[in-house]
Amino acid sequence: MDQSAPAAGDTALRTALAQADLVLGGTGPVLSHLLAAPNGTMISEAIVARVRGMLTSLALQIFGNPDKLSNINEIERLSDELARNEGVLRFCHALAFEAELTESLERGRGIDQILSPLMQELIASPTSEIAELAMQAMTAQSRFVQSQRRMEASVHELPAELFSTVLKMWKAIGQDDQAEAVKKVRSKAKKDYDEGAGRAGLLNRLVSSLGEGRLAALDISHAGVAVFATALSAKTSQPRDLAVLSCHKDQRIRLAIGLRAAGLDEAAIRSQFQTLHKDVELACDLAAMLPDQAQSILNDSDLRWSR
Amino acid sequence: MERNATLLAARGLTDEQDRLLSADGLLADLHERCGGRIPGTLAVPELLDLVRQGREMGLRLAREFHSFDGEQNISGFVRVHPLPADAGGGCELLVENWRSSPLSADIQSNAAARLDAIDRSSAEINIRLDREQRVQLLLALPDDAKQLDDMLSEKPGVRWTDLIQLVGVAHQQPLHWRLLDGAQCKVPGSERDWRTRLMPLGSSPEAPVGFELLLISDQPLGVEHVHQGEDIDPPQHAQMIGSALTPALRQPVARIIANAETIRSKLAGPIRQEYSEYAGNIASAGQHLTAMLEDLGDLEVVEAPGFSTIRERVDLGDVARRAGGILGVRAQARNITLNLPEPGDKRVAAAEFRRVLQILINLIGNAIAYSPEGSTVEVFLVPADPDQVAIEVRDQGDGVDDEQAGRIFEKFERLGREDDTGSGLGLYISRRLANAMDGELELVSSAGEGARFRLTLPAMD
Repeated sequence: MDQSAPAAGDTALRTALAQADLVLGGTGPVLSHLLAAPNGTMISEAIVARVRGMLTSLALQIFGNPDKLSNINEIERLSDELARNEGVLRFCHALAFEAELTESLERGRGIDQILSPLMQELIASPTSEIAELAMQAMTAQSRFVQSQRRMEASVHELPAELFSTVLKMWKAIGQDDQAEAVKKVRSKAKKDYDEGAGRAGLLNRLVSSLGEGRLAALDISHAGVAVFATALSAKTSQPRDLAVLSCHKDQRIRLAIGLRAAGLDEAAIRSQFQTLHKDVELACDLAAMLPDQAQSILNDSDLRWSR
Repeated sequence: MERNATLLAARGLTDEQDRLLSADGLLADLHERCGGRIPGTLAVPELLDLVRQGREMGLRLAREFHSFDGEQNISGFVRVHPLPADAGGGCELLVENWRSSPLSADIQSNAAARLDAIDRSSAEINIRLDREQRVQLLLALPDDAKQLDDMLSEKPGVRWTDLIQLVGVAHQQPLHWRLLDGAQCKVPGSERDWRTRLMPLGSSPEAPVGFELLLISDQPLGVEHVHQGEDIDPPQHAQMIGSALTPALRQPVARIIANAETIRSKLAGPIRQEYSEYAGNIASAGQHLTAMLEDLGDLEVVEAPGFSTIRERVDLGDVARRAGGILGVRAQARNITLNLPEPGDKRVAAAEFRRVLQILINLIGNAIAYSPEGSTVEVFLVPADPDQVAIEVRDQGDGVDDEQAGRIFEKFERLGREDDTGSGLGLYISRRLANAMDGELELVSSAGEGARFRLTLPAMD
């Protein structure tokens, strides 16, 4: 007894220390990643800040009533909970990256964040329904740009599955004495939700209305980032998040394969790369890859994120 | 009303079990081509997934979907709007940007190969033929192929067409094999309908060294008759043209509607507005024909000598709210307010749920159609004899005068209406249904007021 007790404590200590070692060991790569080129990496301080801001704003909107001090703990708890959900993180990360990309393309290439040439054409469409849809999409896009400047995200922009998950997380956090109130707010939130009326939904519907004209949307300087990413996602059946992230420098091979799968020829793809990554050489033989082949490579990729 | 009228290609409505209750031409056509019926479980796989998802989460979805209608690839953008439980608990479907595109030659040959594989795996009788189409080998699984087996042992090496009677192929044999592929046929000793698949063997289909003959039946053995739809019993006694013609007419009419809708919504390219309107007329005439076919089918069901209904607990208030939910969109389109019984109102009848629903849909549908725009249609539970329950549907239309009242429940009675709506069968069928459930459907309004119909049913004890 006297001998076994210290031995057991010893093992526990060793395990705990090993875990601490792991944490310390992990800081190196994370730090060096963050210290690398300030704007060039997938995860930068700016992205982390944006994602954190978005998580808090999502939690705030769900509770709906930030004046009540008693709610603040719960808001923090929900925001922590959200940060542990892979789907939510991925969604926020893609939004943060899209916002950064949209801003940097406006600065560097003069591509309007809200009103691209294609959007202007669509708003002037002789088909009034398309014109109206384009107007709604433009409004949603301008709200997106605004909210990203404040590092916020709207719960109504979440895809339905995530929206549903977030509501469930909130329910799990809620205290029993508030169950009735929570139920009420939940059912109202559900009622107000309409995937087709959010920015992604409107962009999807707009791109879908282009029919075969979707090819025109696959030119980033003509269509703007938002429409471009939506068209790429629709044309290649990738989740929009993935289509957005494929515009990152480190994901350029995904973009090349995606654009080829969408039916762009080599010259058109090179011109997209010229816009997005001016100084980076694309090291693959695009002409040799047939669109069907490209699509099948894409379909086989491990990262077929479900929505 | 949905604003994107031309982007909006089709609407549909499902219930809480994801059965498609109603759908516009294009959607109805696709659903039927995917093997579905109305009412029946939504048969377009991706749409079914979305409807189920939307209904379970209680959230409005907007997604792109893809399908295949047997000839073409179909894609579109669908918005799924879940409906509250008191409106049926299903979903409303709005399909935008309907597109159909032909299959590429490559995929076509893949699809043909897949169909061959399906036929091979579902064939119950496998026969190997030589190049003259004489039977070499028979492999039969089902019991009702026994006679065929016996006949073959008596006459080995006979031509298969001498054993199996082809339906609708009048020519003397032998015919080119391609003409026999896919033919309907009768197998001696079997009650079922069969279909042939004739696949050439050898390297060249032009000079086959033999054939693989598959006989496939869509009816399982030992089942007396196959249900035509999940909700419609096939009539036992065919008395009128309806039973023979309804299934045969349904598909071509659905095609007419679908094509007219395609033209109307200018999916195939821009056309002049007048033509689009003509196409709209064709589509609505087609929809009218479909409705008439359904009525004719119902008519035969209720007039069949053995027709009976089942007795179950049916809450009239609940049925009325469901019927109201289903017709809500139609009422909104005419700006008509529907006053339905409150959720607490309960009156339990001993009747058959779907028949009561059918009657109330008919009554409320009529009330919506014949009331002035902006008026109110009221559906309310009324007191009745102790062993009975009753519900009334009242509108603010012109009503029915005494002379008309005498005829209103007669078959094909349209009360002098000149427009092309209605078959004149709805009320007749409804009354027959009510009577079959030991109930009554009557007109209780007097001349000078809006029409008022009362449905009385035995109470559940």
